[in-house]
Amino acid sequence: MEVVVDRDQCEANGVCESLVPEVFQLDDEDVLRIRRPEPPPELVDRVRHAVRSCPKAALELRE
Amino acid sequence: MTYSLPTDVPVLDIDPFGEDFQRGPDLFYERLRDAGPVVFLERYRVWAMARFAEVHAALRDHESFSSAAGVGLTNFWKEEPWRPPSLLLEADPPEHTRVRRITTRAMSPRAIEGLRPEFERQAEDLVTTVVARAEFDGVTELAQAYPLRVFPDAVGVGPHGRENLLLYGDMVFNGFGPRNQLFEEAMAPGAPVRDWIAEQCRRASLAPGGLGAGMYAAVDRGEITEDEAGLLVRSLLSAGIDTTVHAIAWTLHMLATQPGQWAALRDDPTLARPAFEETLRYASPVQLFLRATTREVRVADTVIPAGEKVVCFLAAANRDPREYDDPDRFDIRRRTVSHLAFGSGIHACVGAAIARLEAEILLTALARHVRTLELAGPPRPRRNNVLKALARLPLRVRAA
Repeated sequence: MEVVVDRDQCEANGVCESLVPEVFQLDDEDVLRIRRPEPPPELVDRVRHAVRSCPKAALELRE
Repeated sequence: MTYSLPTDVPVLDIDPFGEDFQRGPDLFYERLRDAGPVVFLERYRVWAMARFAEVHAALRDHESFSSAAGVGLTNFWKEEPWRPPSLLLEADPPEHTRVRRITTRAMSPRAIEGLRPEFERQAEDLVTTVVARAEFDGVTELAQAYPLRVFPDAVGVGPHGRENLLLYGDMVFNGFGPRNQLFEEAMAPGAPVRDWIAEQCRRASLAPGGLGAGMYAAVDRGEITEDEAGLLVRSLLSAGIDTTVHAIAWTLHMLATQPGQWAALRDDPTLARPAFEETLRYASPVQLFLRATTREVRVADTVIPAGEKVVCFLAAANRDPREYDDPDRFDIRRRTVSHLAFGSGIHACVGAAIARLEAEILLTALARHVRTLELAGPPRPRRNNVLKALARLPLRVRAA
Protein backbone atom coordinates (compact mmCIF):
# COMPACT_ATOMS: atom_id res chain seq x y z
CA MET A 1 0.00 0.00 0.00
CA GLU A 2 1.48 3.33 -1.07
CA VAL A 3 0.53 6.99 -0.63
CA VAL A 4 1.20 9.14 -3.67
CA VAL A 5 0.73 12.87 -4.21
CA ASP A 6 -0.16 14.55 -7.50
CA ARG A 7 2.27 17.49 -7.49
CA ASP A 8 0.20 19.35 -10.09
CA GLN A 9 -2.81 19.35 -7.80
CA CYS A 10 -1.26 19.77 -4.33
CA GLU A 11 -1.68 23.33 -3.07
CA ALA A 12 -0.18 22.85 0.37
CA ASN A 13 -3.46 23.36 2.17
CA GLY A 14 -2.07 21.20 4.96
CA VAL A 15 -5.19 19.18 5.69
CA CYS A 16 -3.29 15.87 5.45
CA GLU A 17 -0.52 17.19 7.68
CA SER A 18 -3.03 18.21 10.33
CA LEU A 19 -4.65 14.75 10.25
CA VAL A 20 -1.60 12.48 10.05
CA PRO A 21 1.61 14.41 10.80
CA GLU A 22 3.42 11.07 11.11
CA VAL A 23 2.97 10.61 7.37
CA PHE A 24 2.49 14.04 5.81
CA GLN A 25 4.70 17.06 6.31
CA LEU A 26 4.90 20.37 4.49
CA ASP A 27 8.47 21.60 4.24
CA ASP A 28 9.65 25.20 4.44
CA GLU A 29 8.98 25.66 0.74
CA ASP A 30 5.41 24.39 1.09
CA VAL A 31 6.24 21.16 -0.69
CA LEU A 32 4.50 18.11 0.69
CA ARG A 33 6.87 15.44 1.95
CA ILE A 34 5.49 11.94 2.39
CA ARG A 35 7.51 10.74 5.34
CA ARG A 36 6.17 7.21 5.25
CA PRO A 37 5.01 6.40 1.70
CA GLU A 38 4.04 2.92 2.89
CA PRO A 39 2.14 3.68 6.08
CA PRO A 40 2.12 1.03 8.79
CA PRO A 41 -1.21 -0.78 9.38
CA GLU A 42 -2.07 1.25 12.49
CA LEU A 43 -2.02 4.48 10.44
CA VAL A 44 -3.89 3.26 7.37
CA ASP A 45 -7.36 4.32 8.50
CA ARG A 46 -6.19 7.84 9.29
CA VAL A 47 -4.29 8.02 6.01
CA ARG A 48 -7.43 6.93 4.15
CA HIS A 49 -9.32 9.74 5.89
CA ALA A 50 -6.61 12.23 4.92
CA VAL A 51 -6.68 11.09 1.29
CA ARG A 52 -10.44 11.55 1.19
CA SER A 53 -10.22 14.92 2.96
CA CYS A 54 -7.66 16.47 0.63
CA PRO A 55 -9.53 19.46 -0.77
CA LYS A 56 -7.81 19.11 -4.15
CA ALA A 57 -8.07 15.32 -4.42
CA ALA A 58 -4.29 15.39 -4.80
CA LEU A 59 -3.63 12.26 -2.72
CA GLU A 60 -4.10 8.65 -3.62
CA LEU A 61 -3.69 5.46 -1.65
CA ARG A 62 -2.63 2.71 -4.04
CA GLU A 63 -3.64 -0.66 -2.65
CA MET B 1 -38.95 19.66 -28.13
CA THR B 2 -40.48 16.84 -26.16
CA TYR B 3 -38.81 15.72 -23.00
CA SER B 4 -39.87 12.58 -21.22
CA LEU B 5 -39.24 12.37 -17.50
CA PRO B 6 -36.74 9.78 -16.37
CA THR B 7 -38.45 6.74 -14.90
CA ASP B 8 -35.76 5.21 -12.75
CA VAL B 9 -35.17 8.09 -10.31
CA PRO B 10 -37.33 10.00 -7.85
CA VAL B 11 -38.83 13.01 -9.63
CA LEU B 12 -39.37 15.91 -7.23
CA ASP B 13 -41.25 19.18 -7.62
CA ILE B 14 -38.83 21.05 -5.31
CA ASP B 15 -37.73 24.52 -6.51
CA PRO B 16 -34.34 25.36 -4.96
CA PHE B 17 -34.61 28.92 -6.29
CA GLY B 18 -38.07 29.54 -4.90
CA GLU B 19 -38.98 31.63 -1.87
CA ASP B 20 -40.15 28.74 0.35
CA PHE B 21 -36.94 26.87 -0.23
CA GLN B 22 -34.71 29.87 0.33
CA ARG B 23 -36.48 30.85 3.53
CA GLY B 24 -36.04 27.42 5.08
CA PRO B 25 -33.93 25.01 3.07
CA ASP B 26 -33.20 22.43 5.80
CA LEU B 27 -36.37 20.33 5.41
CA PHE B 28 -36.03 20.43 1.63
CA TYR B 29 -32.45 19.20 1.97
CA GLU B 30 -33.64 16.33 4.13
CA ARG B 31 -36.25 15.40 1.52
CA LEU B 32 -33.68 15.58 -1.27
CA ARG B 33 -31.18 13.40 0.63
CA ASP B 34 -33.77 10.86 1.68
CA ALA B 35 -35.33 10.57 -1.78
CA GLY B 36 -32.21 8.87 -3.13
CA PRO B 37 -28.56 9.28 -4.13
CA VAL B 38 -29.68 11.11 -7.26
CA VAL B 39 -33.02 12.74 -8.06
CA PHE B 40 -34.60 14.70 -10.89
CA LEU B 41 -35.99 18.21 -10.39
CA GLU B 42 -38.94 18.43 -12.70
CA ARG B 43 -39.30 22.18 -12.71
CA TYR B 44 -35.88 22.91 -14.23
CA ARG B 45 -35.33 19.49 -15.80
CA VAL B 46 -32.06 19.00 -14.01
CA TRP B 47 -30.65 16.17 -11.95
CA ALA B 48 -29.60 16.70 -8.36
CA MET B 49 -27.53 15.14 -5.62
CA ALA B 50 -27.74 16.02 -1.94
CA ARG B 51 -25.88 13.23 -0.13
CA PHE B 52 -22.28 13.78 0.89
CA ALA B 53 -20.83 10.70 -0.82
CA GLU B 54 -22.31 11.45 -4.23
CA VAL B 55 -21.66 15.21 -4.14
CA HIS B 56 -18.08 14.62 -2.97
CA ALA B 57 -17.49 12.06 -5.72
CA ALA B 58 -19.02 14.24 -8.45
CA LEU B 59 -16.96 17.29 -7.48
CA ARG B 60 -13.81 15.17 -7.62
CA ASP B 61 -14.69 13.64 -10.99
CA HIS B 62 -14.20 16.61 -13.29
CA GLU B 63 -13.86 14.36 -16.31
CA SER B 64 -17.47 13.20 -16.00
CA PHE B 65 -18.85 16.35 -14.40
CA SER B 66 -17.82 19.42 -16.38
CA SER B 67 -17.76 23.01 -15.19
CA ALA B 68 -17.41 24.47 -18.69
CA ALA B 69 -21.19 24.51 -19.21
CA GLY B 70 -21.39 26.87 -16.24
CA VAL B 71 -21.91 26.13 -12.56
CA GLY B 72 -25.29 27.81 -12.43
CA LEU B 73 -28.56 26.73 -13.98
CA THR B 74 -27.78 28.15 -17.43
CA ASN B 75 -26.27 25.52 -19.73
CA PHE B 76 -23.56 27.36 -21.70
CA TRP B 77 -23.59 24.56 -24.27
CA LYS B 78 -27.13 25.64 -25.18
CA GLU B 79 -27.63 29.21 -23.94
CA GLU B 80 -25.61 32.41 -23.84
CA PRO B 81 -24.19 33.23 -20.38
CA TRP B 82 -24.85 36.74 -19.00
CA ARG B 83 -21.12 37.52 -18.91
CA PRO B 84 -18.01 35.99 -20.49
CA PRO B 85 -17.35 32.73 -18.59
CA SER B 86 -14.81 32.61 -15.78
CA LEU B 87 -11.46 31.06 -16.74
CA LEU B 88 -11.42 29.22 -13.42
CA LEU B 89 -14.91 28.44 -12.18
CA GLU B 90 -16.50 27.82 -15.56
CA ALA B 91 -13.68 25.93 -17.28
CA ASP B 92 -12.29 22.41 -17.56
CA PRO B 93 -8.75 21.08 -17.99
CA PRO B 94 -6.49 21.63 -19.81
CA GLU B 95 -7.46 25.35 -20.04
CA HIS B 96 -8.36 25.42 -16.36
CA THR B 97 -5.07 23.84 -15.27
CA ARG B 98 -2.96 26.48 -16.96
CA VAL B 99 -4.61 29.49 -15.30
CA ARG B 100 -5.37 27.82 -11.97
CA ARG B 101 -1.63 27.31 -11.47
CA ILE B 102 -1.18 31.08 -11.51
CA THR B 103 -3.88 31.88 -8.97
CA THR B 104 -2.80 28.97 -6.77
CA ARG B 105 0.75 30.25 -6.58
CA ALA B 106 -0.46 33.74 -5.69
CA MET B 107 -2.85 32.53 -2.99
CA SER B 108 -1.26 29.53 -1.32
CA PRO B 109 -1.54 29.43 2.48
CA ARG B 110 2.14 30.39 2.69
CA ALA B 111 1.81 33.35 0.30
CA ILE B 112 -1.26 34.58 2.13
CA GLU B 113 0.47 34.57 5.54
CA GLY B 114 2.23 37.74 4.42
CA LEU B 115 -1.11 39.54 4.66
CA ARG B 116 -1.48 38.72 8.35
CA PRO B 117 0.00 41.88 9.95
CA GLU B 118 -2.20 44.23 7.92
CA PHE B 119 -5.29 42.02 8.35
CA GLU B 120 -4.68 42.05 12.12
CA ARG B 121 -4.30 45.80 12.24
CA GLN B 122 -7.59 46.29 10.37
CA ALA B 123 -9.41 43.76 12.55
CA GLU B 124 -8.20 45.46 15.72
CA ASP B 125 -9.37 48.82 14.43
CA LEU B 126 -12.80 47.61 13.34
CA VAL B 127 -13.50 45.48 16.40
CA THR B 128 -12.57 48.20 18.88
CA THR B 129 -14.86 50.58 17.00
CA VAL B 130 -17.93 48.33 17.18
CA VAL B 131 -17.21 47.26 20.76
CA ALA B 132 -17.21 50.91 21.77
CA ARG B 133 -20.68 51.26 20.24
CA ALA B 134 -22.02 48.19 22.12
CA GLU B 135 -24.88 47.66 19.64
CA PHE B 136 -24.34 47.33 15.93
CA ASP B 137 -25.32 45.45 12.79
CA GLY B 138 -23.08 42.42 12.45
CA VAL B 139 -23.66 42.20 8.71
CA THR B 140 -22.83 45.71 7.54
CA GLU B 141 -20.47 46.80 10.30
CA LEU B 142 -18.35 43.64 10.62
CA ALA B 143 -19.12 40.90 8.11
CA GLN B 144 -19.18 43.31 5.16
CA ALA B 145 -16.92 46.04 6.51
CA TYR B 146 -13.96 43.79 7.22
CA PRO B 147 -13.66 41.92 3.90
CA LEU B 148 -14.43 45.18 2.04
CA ARG B 149 -11.40 46.73 3.69
CA VAL B 150 -8.84 43.96 3.62
CA PHE B 151 -9.64 41.97 0.50
CA PRO B 152 -9.68 44.74 -2.12
CA ASP B 153 -6.54 46.10 -0.41
CA ALA B 154 -4.90 42.70 -0.91
CA VAL B 155 -5.94 42.62 -4.56
CA GLY B 156 -4.75 46.19 -5.05
CA VAL B 157 -8.10 47.88 -5.73
CA GLY B 158 -8.40 51.55 -4.82
CA PRO B 159 -10.49 52.80 -1.88
CA HIS B 160 -13.31 54.42 -3.89
CA GLY B 161 -16.46 52.75 -5.15
CA ARG B 162 -16.07 49.52 -3.23
CA GLU B 163 -19.84 49.29 -2.70
CA ASN B 164 -19.88 48.19 -6.34
CA LEU B 165 -18.24 44.95 -5.21
CA LEU B 166 -21.36 44.04 -3.23
CA LEU B 167 -23.65 44.94 -6.13
CA TYR B 168 -21.51 42.89 -8.48
CA GLY B 169 -21.48 39.94 -6.07
CA ASP B 170 -25.28 40.09 -6.09
CA MET B 171 -25.23 39.82 -9.87
CA VAL B 172 -22.77 36.95 -9.88
CA PHE B 173 -24.49 34.79 -7.29
CA ASN B 174 -28.09 35.49 -8.24
CA GLY B 175 -26.90 35.05 -11.82
CA PHE B 176 -26.31 31.36 -11.12
CA GLY B 177 -30.05 30.89 -10.73
CA PRO B 178 -32.93 30.95 -13.21
CA ARG B 179 -34.15 34.25 -14.64
CA ASN B 180 -36.42 34.81 -11.66
CA GLN B 181 -37.15 38.05 -9.83
CA LEU B 182 -33.94 37.78 -7.78
CA PHE B 183 -31.95 37.46 -10.97
CA GLU B 184 -33.63 40.48 -12.58
CA GLU B 185 -33.32 42.66 -9.48
CA ALA B 186 -29.66 41.81 -9.05
CA MET B 187 -28.93 42.63 -12.70
CA ALA B 188 -30.85 45.94 -12.55
CA PRO B 189 -27.85 48.12 -11.52
CA GLY B 190 -26.39 46.92 -14.82
CA ALA B 191 -23.68 48.52 -16.90
CA PRO B 192 -22.30 51.10 -14.43
CA VAL B 193 -21.44 48.35 -11.94
CA ARG B 194 -20.01 46.05 -14.58
CA ASP B 195 -18.00 48.92 -16.07
CA TRP B 196 -16.58 49.78 -12.65
CA ILE B 197 -15.52 46.16 -12.16
CA ALA B 198 -13.98 46.02 -15.64
CA GLU B 199 -12.05 49.21 -14.86
CA GLN B 200 -10.63 47.74 -11.62
CA CYS B 201 -9.48 44.64 -13.51
CA ARG B 202 -7.16 46.64 -15.80
CA ARG B 203 -3.43 46.52 -15.18
CA ALA B 204 -3.20 50.28 -14.72
CA SER B 205 -5.82 50.28 -11.93
CA LEU B 206 -4.09 47.73 -9.72
CA ALA B 207 -1.62 48.68 -6.98
CA PRO B 208 1.86 47.18 -7.35
CA GLY B 209 2.58 44.17 -5.16
CA GLY B 210 -1.06 43.11 -4.82
CA LEU B 211 -2.74 39.88 -5.91
CA GLY B 212 -4.16 41.63 -8.98
CA ALA B 213 -0.73 42.84 -10.09
CA GLY B 214 0.42 39.26 -9.57
CA MET B 215 -1.94 38.14 -12.33
CA TYR B 216 -0.36 40.65 -14.70
CA ALA B 217 3.11 39.51 -13.64
CA ALA B 218 2.10 36.15 -15.15
CA VAL B 219 1.46 38.01 -18.44
CA ASP B 220 4.97 39.43 -18.30
CA ARG B 221 6.33 35.91 -17.79
CA GLY B 222 4.45 34.84 -20.93
CA GLU B 223 2.10 32.48 -19.08
CA ILE B 224 -1.24 34.13 -19.89
CA THR B 225 -2.56 36.96 -22.02
CA GLU B 226 -3.46 40.45 -20.86
CA ASP B 227 -7.18 39.68 -21.31
CA GLU B 228 -6.86 36.50 -19.29
CA ALA B 229 -5.19 38.38 -16.44
CA GLY B 230 -8.14 40.78 -16.41
CA LEU B 231 -10.58 37.89 -16.18
CA LEU B 232 -8.60 36.35 -13.31
CA VAL B 233 -8.77 39.62 -11.40
CA ARG B 234 -12.51 39.61 -12.11
CA SER B 235 -12.67 36.13 -10.57
CA LEU B 236 -11.00 37.40 -7.41
CA LEU B 237 -13.44 40.30 -7.18
CA SER B 238 -16.47 38.10 -7.98
CA ALA B 239 -15.77 35.29 -5.57
CA GLY B 240 -13.78 36.96 -2.83
CA ILE B 241 -16.31 39.22 -1.14
CA ASP B 242 -19.88 37.92 -0.76
CA THR B 243 -18.83 34.39 0.11
CA THR B 244 -16.60 35.61 2.92
CA VAL B 245 -19.13 38.22 4.03
CA HIS B 246 -21.85 35.64 4.60
CA ALA B 247 -19.50 33.06 6.06
CA ILE B 248 -18.43 35.62 8.66
CA ALA B 249 -22.01 36.81 9.20
CA TRP B 250 -23.19 33.24 9.88
CA THR B 251 -20.27 32.62 12.22
CA LEU B 252 -21.32 35.69 14.22
CA HIS B 253 -24.93 34.51 14.10
CA MET B 254 -24.06 31.05 15.43
CA LEU B 255 -21.82 32.38 18.19
CA ALA B 256 -24.37 35.01 19.24
CA THR B 257 -27.16 32.44 19.50
CA GLN B 258 -25.15 29.66 21.19
CA PRO B 259 -23.58 31.12 24.33
CA GLY B 260 -21.75 27.88 25.16
CA GLN B 261 -19.95 28.00 21.83
CA TRP B 262 -19.03 31.66 22.31
CA ALA B 263 -17.71 30.86 25.80
CA ALA B 264 -15.60 28.04 24.35
CA LEU B 265 -14.07 30.41 21.83
CA ARG B 266 -13.36 33.02 24.49
CA ASP B 267 -11.67 30.40 26.69
CA ASP B 268 -9.58 29.18 23.80
CA PRO B 269 -9.16 31.66 20.93
CA THR B 270 -7.29 29.00 18.92
CA LEU B 271 -10.82 27.71 18.24
CA ALA B 272 -11.34 30.68 15.90
CA ARG B 273 -10.45 28.70 12.81
CA PRO B 274 -12.41 25.57 13.80
CA ALA B 275 -15.40 27.82 14.58
CA PHE B 276 -15.24 29.19 11.06
CA GLU B 277 -14.91 25.69 9.56
CA GLU B 278 -17.88 24.44 11.55
CA THR B 279 -19.91 27.40 10.35
CA LEU B 280 -18.93 26.62 6.78
CA ARG B 281 -20.11 23.06 7.27
CA TYR B 282 -23.25 24.06 9.15
CA ALA B 283 -24.38 27.06 7.10
CA SER B 284 -22.52 26.60 3.76
CA PRO B 285 -22.64 30.14 2.31
CA VAL B 286 -22.58 28.70 -1.22
CA GLN B 287 -25.55 26.38 -1.06
CA LEU B 288 -25.24 24.75 -4.46
CA PHE B 289 -23.32 24.66 -7.70
CA LEU B 290 -24.04 22.71 -10.83
CA ARG B 291 -22.02 20.54 -13.14
CA ALA B 292 -22.82 19.11 -16.58
CA THR B 293 -22.29 15.51 -17.60
CA THR B 294 -19.71 15.04 -20.35
CA ARG B 295 -20.90 11.47 -20.99
CA GLU B 296 -23.37 8.96 -19.60
CA VAL B 297 -22.58 8.80 -15.90
CA ARG B 298 -23.73 6.10 -13.53
CA VAL B 299 -24.62 7.34 -10.02
CA ALA B 300 -25.70 4.49 -7.76
CA ASP B 301 -28.29 2.64 -9.90
CA THR B 302 -29.08 5.57 -12.15
CA VAL B 303 -27.55 6.50 -15.47
CA ILE B 304 -27.52 10.24 -16.12
CA PRO B 305 -27.34 10.89 -19.88
CA ALA B 306 -24.60 13.03 -21.40
CA GLY B 307 -25.03 16.81 -21.58
CA GLU B 308 -27.32 17.10 -18.54
CA LYS B 309 -27.01 19.63 -15.77
CA VAL B 310 -26.66 18.26 -12.25
CA VAL B 311 -27.21 20.27 -9.06
CA CYS B 312 -24.67 19.52 -6.32
CA PHE B 313 -26.25 20.61 -3.04
CA LEU B 314 -23.14 21.44 -1.02
CA ALA B 315 -25.20 22.60 1.96
CA ALA B 316 -27.25 19.40 2.05
CA ALA B 317 -24.14 17.23 1.79
CA ASN B 318 -22.58 19.11 4.70
CA ARG B 319 -25.55 18.12 6.91
CA ASP B 320 -25.81 14.54 5.71
CA PRO B 321 -26.25 12.17 8.67
CA ARG B 322 -24.68 9.46 6.51
CA GLU B 323 -21.43 11.44 6.80
CA TYR B 324 -21.61 13.40 10.07
CA ASP B 325 -22.72 12.37 13.54
CA ASP B 326 -25.54 14.60 14.70
CA PRO B 327 -25.08 16.92 11.68
CA ASP B 328 -27.56 19.57 12.84
CA ARG B 329 -25.60 20.20 16.02
CA PHE B 330 -23.26 23.19 15.73
CA ASP B 331 -20.06 22.41 17.60
CA ILE B 332 -16.86 24.38 17.08
CA ARG B 333 -14.87 21.54 18.68
CA ARG B 334 -15.96 19.19 15.91
CA ARG B 335 -12.76 19.91 13.96
CA THR B 336 -14.33 19.39 10.57
CA VAL B 337 -11.86 19.28 7.73
CA SER B 338 -13.81 17.46 5.08
CA HIS B 339 -16.83 19.72 4.49
CA LEU B 340 -17.70 20.72 0.94
CA ALA B 341 -18.38 24.42 1.51
CA PHE B 342 -15.25 25.31 -0.51
CA GLY B 343 -16.03 22.61 -3.05
CA SER B 344 -13.60 19.74 -3.60
CA GLY B 345 -11.22 18.60 -6.30
CA ILE B 346 -9.63 20.74 -9.00
CA HIS B 347 -12.12 23.59 -8.54
CA ALA B 348 -11.78 23.77 -4.75
CA CYS B 349 -11.95 27.44 -3.74
CA VAL B 350 -8.65 29.06 -4.64
CA GLY B 351 -9.28 31.84 -2.11
CA ALA B 352 -9.95 29.51 0.81
CA ALA B 353 -6.72 30.43 2.56
CA ILE B 354 -7.60 34.14 2.42
CA ALA B 355 -11.14 33.56 3.71
CA ARG B 356 -9.75 31.44 6.54
CA LEU B 357 -7.16 34.05 7.42
CA GLU B 358 -9.75 36.85 7.46
CA ALA B 359 -12.13 34.87 9.65
CA GLU B 360 -9.47 33.63 12.03
CA ILE B 361 -8.11 37.12 12.61
CA LEU B 362 -11.50 38.78 13.00
CA LEU B 363 -12.79 36.11 15.41
CA THR B 364 -9.59 36.17 17.43
CA ALA B 365 -9.89 39.95 17.81
CA LEU B 366 -13.53 39.57 18.90
CA ALA B 367 -12.66 36.86 21.41
CA ARG B 368 -10.07 39.18 22.91
CA HIS B 369 -12.20 42.33 23.08
CA VAL B 370 -15.68 41.00 23.74
CA ARG B 371 -16.99 39.31 26.88
CA THR B 372 -20.60 38.67 25.93
CA LEU B 373 -22.05 38.48 22.44
CA GLU B 374 -25.80 38.28 21.90
CA LEU B 375 -28.57 39.20 19.50
CA ALA B 376 -30.02 42.68 19.96
CA GLY B 377 -32.97 41.93 17.68
CA PRO B 378 -34.17 39.42 15.12
CA PRO B 379 -31.71 38.62 12.32
CA ARG B 380 -33.07 39.15 8.83
CA PRO B 381 -32.13 36.71 6.07
CA ARG B 382 -31.49 37.90 2.55
CA ARG B 383 -32.74 35.82 -0.35
CA ASN B 384 -30.22 34.85 -2.98
CA ASN B 385 -30.29 32.22 -5.70
CA VAL B 386 -27.27 30.32 -4.39
CA LEU B 387 -25.99 32.03 -1.25
CA LYS B 388 -27.26 31.54 2.26
CA ALA B 389 -27.20 35.20 3.12
CA LEU B 390 -28.05 37.59 5.92
CA ALA B 391 -29.33 41.14 5.43
CA ARG B 392 -29.16 42.20 9.07
CA LEU B 393 -27.74 40.80 12.30
CA PRO B 394 -28.37 43.13 15.26
CA LEU B 395 -25.71 42.39 17.87
CA ARG B 396 -25.05 43.57 21.41
CA VAL B 397 -21.64 43.14 22.97
CA ARG B 398 -20.04 43.84 26.32
CA ALA B 399 -16.37 44.66 26.31
CA ALA B 400 -13.94 42.24 27.91
